[in-house]
Amino acid sequence: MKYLELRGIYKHYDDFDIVVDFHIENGELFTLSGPSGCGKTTLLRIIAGFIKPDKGKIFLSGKDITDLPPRERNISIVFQNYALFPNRNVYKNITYGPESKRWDKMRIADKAESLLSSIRMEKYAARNTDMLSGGEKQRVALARAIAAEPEILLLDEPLSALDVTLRNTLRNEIREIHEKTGLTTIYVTHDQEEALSLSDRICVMNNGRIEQTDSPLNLYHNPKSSFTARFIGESNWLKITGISDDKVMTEAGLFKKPERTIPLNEEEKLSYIFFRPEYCEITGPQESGPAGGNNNLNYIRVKITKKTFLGSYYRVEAQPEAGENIKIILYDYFPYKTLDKDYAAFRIDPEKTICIT
Amino acid sequence: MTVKKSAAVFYSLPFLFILFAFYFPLANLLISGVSPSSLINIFSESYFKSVFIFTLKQAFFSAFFSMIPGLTGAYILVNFNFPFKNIIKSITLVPFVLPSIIVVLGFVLLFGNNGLINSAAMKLFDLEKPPFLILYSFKAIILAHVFYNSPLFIRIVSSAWERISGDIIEAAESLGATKLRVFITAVLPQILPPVIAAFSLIFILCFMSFSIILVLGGGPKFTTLEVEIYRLVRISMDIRAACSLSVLQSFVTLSFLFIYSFYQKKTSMIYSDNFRIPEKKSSSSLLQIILIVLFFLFLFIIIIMPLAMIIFESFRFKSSHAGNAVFSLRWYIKSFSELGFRPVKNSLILASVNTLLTCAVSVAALSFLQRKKTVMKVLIETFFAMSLGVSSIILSLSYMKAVSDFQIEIQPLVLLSMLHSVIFLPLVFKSISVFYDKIDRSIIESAESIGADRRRILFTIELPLVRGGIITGGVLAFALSMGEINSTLMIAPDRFTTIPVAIYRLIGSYNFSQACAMGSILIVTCVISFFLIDKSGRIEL
Repeated sequence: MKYLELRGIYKHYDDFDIVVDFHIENGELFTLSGPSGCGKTTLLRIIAGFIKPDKGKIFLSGKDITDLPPRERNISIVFQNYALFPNRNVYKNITYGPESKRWDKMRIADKAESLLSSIRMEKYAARNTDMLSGGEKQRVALARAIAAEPEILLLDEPLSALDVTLRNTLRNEIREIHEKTGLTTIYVTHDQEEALSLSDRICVMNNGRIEQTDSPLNLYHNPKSSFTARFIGESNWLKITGISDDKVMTEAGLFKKPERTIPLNEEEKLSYIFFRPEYCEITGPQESGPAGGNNNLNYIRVKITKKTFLGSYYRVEAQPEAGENIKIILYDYFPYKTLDKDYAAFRIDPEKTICIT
Repeated sequence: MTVKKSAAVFYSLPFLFILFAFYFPLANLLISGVSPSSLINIFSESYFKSVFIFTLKQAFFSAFFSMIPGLTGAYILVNFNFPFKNIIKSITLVPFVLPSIIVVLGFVLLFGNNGLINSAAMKLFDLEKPPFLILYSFKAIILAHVFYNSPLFIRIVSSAWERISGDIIEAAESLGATKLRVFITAVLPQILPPVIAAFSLIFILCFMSFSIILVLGGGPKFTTLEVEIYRLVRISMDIRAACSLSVLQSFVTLSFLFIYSFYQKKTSMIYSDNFRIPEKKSSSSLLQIILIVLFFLFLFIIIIMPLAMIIFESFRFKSSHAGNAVFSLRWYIKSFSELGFRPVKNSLILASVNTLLTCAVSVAALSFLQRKKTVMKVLIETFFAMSLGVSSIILSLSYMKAVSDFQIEIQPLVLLSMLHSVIFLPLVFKSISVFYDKIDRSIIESAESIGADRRRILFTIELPLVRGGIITGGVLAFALSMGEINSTLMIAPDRFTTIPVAIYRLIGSYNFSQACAMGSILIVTCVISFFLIDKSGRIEL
């Protein structure tokens, strides 16, 4: 069911414009991601009602809300810098929404108490907000946003002002709260790891347009545009130097022609073989391994330039015979002593490569 | 001299200066000028009581009526988008450097019985007599104070209002709050401290207002403590009563100064980490346009028009009452041939010495403070800012008393230079300290760690970084000193004249055209200073 629908939204700015069409389903945790300046925050503010689109309509549960002011939309928002009311304590911040909606006192108190306990801040109710740490502030901001039971919760880079450990904890809490309440949530972040780990679906935006909307898994393994392929996750791009019906010649070696092809939407007019660092397996030291020949498709010979042991896996950087360095992640490294050598050969799974052209 | 010794001398200079030039004469005034019985006498005399009550009353009403255009102006500046907005913002700064005697002169030209408004009304409605008799009344005092101070109100409140993060307002809106509720719960609590700060600052300024009361009040009926002290000293020669009144007045002004600095501190804490400017609706509704036009008109009438009229009048010459006015340099030539270059020379010397002294003392003190812990810093800062709460008339009185008590032989110019420096030190100090506060301690520490001594750090790091503050403070000191009239009238002998004193005497003898010629010279200095300040830095209140 289409819960929130943005139909033909257009907003013009001097230096770029936004053209989007998408919908979100009820109960989804939907992420808008993309590099800074791609228009994701603007889009969020259009949904919240702070920016009016030049064209297009917004529907919430089938109702046209395009012309409603923010306060009548029942969509609440959490900002990166918390935006807590400095003149109200923790409790009064949380009750702000219910008070605006004129709930009765008992209901407000019940709600506030249950939220305080779910963010584990019961003891902080009477505290001033400037006495809180960043993480606590963001928890209060989150509780405040959901107190009035909005139909949609918007989160605008809510974790980017926090340090890494706190970010991970709060990320889990947001996911927990989402699962508990089933609240439809739109999450804006430029951090792709955050996007991948949190979302039901991710919408990758670039320059005011949607590149791809998909599940995290699909975005990663099955990107539909070169932008998404580059933006999400780490990847290797081997320059194609020649192409035939079933084979592709790259700087690094000869490959089986991939079944999947996606368009390259970048300035340069080149073609690439695309694969993720973990699509590779090590086949032995370079001297002994087969490489490059017609019968040995998808093998590349490399000089290992850097290897980092990270416990459950090895991260390797390697220089092929020609072209740029490639990144390789090896989970299954135990059988091979070959990494001790300077040279190695790798095989890249032909099912998983993508041709970008 | 070793570096260490010269540093010790350098850093002790500001303390010696402020002790000698401010605390010593003031202490002398308190110890030898005031006794419990003289204080009781003051309170029992009904005349002084009525003066005291009048001073409070006019200060309160002045601050209150400045608040009305002040709040409206701040609201318009913060919430609407319109052309020339930045110019308007800058214009609200003009009164900082505008001498009060110029305000008085402009006010007379505008509202006087032969002023622009009355003569226009007389011509328009064919009247025999001027219809608006405003001068020399309570109305005149309040109106002039409102003119002078409402831009200050606009400035203080709007700059704080602007700092309220758009996120907070939008958070409130998205939580279902109506426009009114957003204002009451999210905006009002945050602009209340600056409103109270602006109110108390204007209250203090009007409580100590001198030349506006002296000229526009026009007599004992409308006299304030400040003017009364002046009269007691210069006319009745009753130093004892003057000293007692000074204690009373300083008690009030210092109390309000504490209120002011308390709320000013609160204002500076307005939520501002990572703030985002709220989305401004471009102003298109008729009501908004009318409001903006009225706002432009208001600022034009209270700031631009009086200045333009003074300059216009200074070049206008009418050979006979009925004759046509022609452009002429006559008033300038007349002023200089009658007064000579003495007033201009005196003013320039005063202003230059004041600029050098206040900047040097401020930099030395701030460079010293830079290395101190917070508590110590606040104490020393207060120590230097104290003279803000003591009026220039009272300071002058304390100087007169010290000079006569200790039989010091001193040139009026030297005495006045010192006085000016004490009067304007807090403002210069503040202008520079804003920049000093922004210097990251670790920069200084890393310079020290790579072997720079204090002198090298001062000249190669601190001074270049606080350059904007020194320019702002220095220009401010120069402009304010050029326009200062209170202390000169109080302590200088009658033959000693500066530009503002000359203007005051010319107004007193109804010689307005010549007053305008002298006034124009002052205005030009102020306008230049204004542009320098507007370009180089910002004024912190």
